[in-house]
Amino acid sequence: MKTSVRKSGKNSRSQLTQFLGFLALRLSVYLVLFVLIYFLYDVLSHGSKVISWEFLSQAPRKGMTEGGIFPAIFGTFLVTLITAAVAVPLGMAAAIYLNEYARAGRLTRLIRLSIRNLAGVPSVVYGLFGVILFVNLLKLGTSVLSAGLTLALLTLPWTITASEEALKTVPDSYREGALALGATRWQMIRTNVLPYSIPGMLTGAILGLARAAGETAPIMFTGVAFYLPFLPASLKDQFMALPYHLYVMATQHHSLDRAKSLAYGTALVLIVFVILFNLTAVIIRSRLRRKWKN
Amino acid sequence: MDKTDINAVYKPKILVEDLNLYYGQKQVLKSISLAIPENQVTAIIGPSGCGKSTFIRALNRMNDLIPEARVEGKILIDDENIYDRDIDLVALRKKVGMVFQKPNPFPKSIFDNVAYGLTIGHHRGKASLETAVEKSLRQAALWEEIKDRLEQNALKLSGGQQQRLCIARTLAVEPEIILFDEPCSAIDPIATSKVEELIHQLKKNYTVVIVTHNMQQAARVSDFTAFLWLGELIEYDRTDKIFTNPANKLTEDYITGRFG
Amino acid sequence: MTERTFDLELNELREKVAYLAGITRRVLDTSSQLLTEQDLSLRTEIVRLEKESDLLENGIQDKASTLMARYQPVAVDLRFLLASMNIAHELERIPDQCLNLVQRLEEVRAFLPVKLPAELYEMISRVKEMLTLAIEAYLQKEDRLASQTIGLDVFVDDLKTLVMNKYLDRVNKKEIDPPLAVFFILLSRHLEKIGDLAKNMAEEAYYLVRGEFIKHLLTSGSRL
Repeated sequence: MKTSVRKSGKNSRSQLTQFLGFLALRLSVYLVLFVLIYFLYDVLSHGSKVISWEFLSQAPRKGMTEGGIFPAIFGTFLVTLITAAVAVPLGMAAAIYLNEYARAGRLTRLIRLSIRNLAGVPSVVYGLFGVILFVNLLKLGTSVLSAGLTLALLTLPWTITASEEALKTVPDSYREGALALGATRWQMIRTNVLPYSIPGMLTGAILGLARAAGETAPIMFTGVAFYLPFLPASLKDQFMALPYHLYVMATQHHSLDRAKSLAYGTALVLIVFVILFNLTAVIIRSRLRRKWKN
Repeated sequence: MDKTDINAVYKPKILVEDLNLYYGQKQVLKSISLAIPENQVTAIIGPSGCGKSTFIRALNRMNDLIPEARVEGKILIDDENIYDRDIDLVALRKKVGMVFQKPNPFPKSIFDNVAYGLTIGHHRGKASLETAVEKSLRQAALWEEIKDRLEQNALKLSGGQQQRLCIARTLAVEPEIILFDEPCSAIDPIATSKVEELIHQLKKNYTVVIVTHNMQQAARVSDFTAFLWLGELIEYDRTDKIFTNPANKLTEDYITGRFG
Repeated sequence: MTERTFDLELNELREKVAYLAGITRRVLDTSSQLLTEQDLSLRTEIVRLEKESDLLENGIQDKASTLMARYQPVAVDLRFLLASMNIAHELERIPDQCLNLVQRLEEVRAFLPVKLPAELYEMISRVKEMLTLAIEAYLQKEDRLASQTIGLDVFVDDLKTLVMNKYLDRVNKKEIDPPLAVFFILLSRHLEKIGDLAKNMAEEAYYLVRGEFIKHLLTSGSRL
């Protein structure tokens, strides 16, 4: 028997279904892209007008209706640094423990479940927790340190999960191979697991940090200030931050109309800040991946 | 031939005594006793799921990686029970090397792969490292093919070369026993015959245990053959005997391809 | 389990050997008829069958070696192929011996008809029996039949010795024409050789079933 492979009436029906299916999928992608592009266009067109060297390098003046946002840029940078210094090593260590050392059992499962759940807790709850633990209990006061630690808590579930995922991408055959050659567990991790999972870990960590950098609620109670004409001199000082500044300018300001263009400028800076973060993640990942391949 | 006969002629290197192994509730190995002779090749054959891979992994305690695995009985290597509490796993795995089913070179240079077992834990001079790497690669019949590109990533080698690299890596640690867990199941026939030739050579200096689902391979490379079926040791004898005149009907049905 | 292609092939081989055994048997029967009736016209038939058996043996060797190359048999399958090849080889040599018998008869044409001694009749029926038993031992994989065949060979050997001693003695006593005595002795030799071939086949059948070589265990003096 010979079957013809030409298009026939019988096949065209299923081809139509397939065409419609793909069309629906394509449309949903276009919709998402449209929203994103419109949003960026809006922020860019309004925000770019106020961006200037002065805007980036000066402190706000005249009740925050003039001047720049430098203290907020600096503050966000500083608090993100603190967050990174705490969350990244801690997250990696926790992930290594969970993935490489902990015996799979009820306790490990429970810990993992808790971490996943923590990732879903609203950020304002972290803010309140930060007030209780860091500001009051540990007597760190409302400071950039308290805010950084609170943001670290917020990012921790993300860095742990991302690091664990990165560890899981390392084939078990690398582990078995190392152990079979007489490596101890730590030697195995150091030589045959970490080198291949660190790109993934860093990517996850940076994405988590980018999210933290844009958060308002957790720092609102723990260290951020409405307005400070000067930069924090120590970790115990309060600070200004981009997201909170934006929040204030967009909703809390005494004359919203005059602050509106400044708010757009702040939003633009914040978005660029976050995009730069993500870009760094992508670059690091591809660099290390290339290095690993050769 | 029972255990005592083999012991009378050959010095046993590994003595397995009443080994039971469980994964959780499931018993995977049932009361296995056999003596694996020194400087001989012993093949473990049997249908998939008969426990042959589990058995060979019990010999260097790779099963320890599986949390629910539980072992009863003894495995004596040079009269030391490797399941005793005071056994140093690192020392055990250096003495009992293992080559896996799928070639698993590390994504490092060829040189670093072979030197891996020598560099972890302690430092050796560059010169002595180079000598050791060359020696192992020569033993694994790979030196001539790759001597000019030792710095190349090992993942760029062909499958058969990768497997010989893994053998070289194992040899570099200077083990006394080498376990092969279906070493040729992922490589082509030409590469397979090279690995088999290598196994023939290795027997002079090492005790070799090989798990294979390829009966012809067992017949070609081994001196002794053990047939496992559903976790039980059905027959263990000289390979010549097993492949011309097996004592057990199950063995005969399996090796002639009547089941499995 | 369902029949393997290899099993079908092995069975085909077995049938070829059985067919060759049938031809051999006919040659032996015709030859014994030729001897008893002293009818040399049967010679053509024997020659024809002998040629056929040569071709059959070639076919069997060819098939068996192909199966070895293609299936790389082990254990009982390996032993079956080896036994089949060797048995075919032995079977093919029986018609050769039968041609020798015919040849001997032609040589004494001047003396015909001759009365054959009873010992030779006895030998003929013994070797026929041995051939049947050996083939059955192979076809049915019966080591008991194989042992029985090997046991019979002793009788055939003894009969040969008997014929030789008897007719040498008679020649010495001038009771018989020397050419006739030589004829009887040579016949007994050829028949004994056929018995030997049957015994070899039985040994192959024994190996097929038990996986043990008994050839040299039994020829060196010890008897079943």
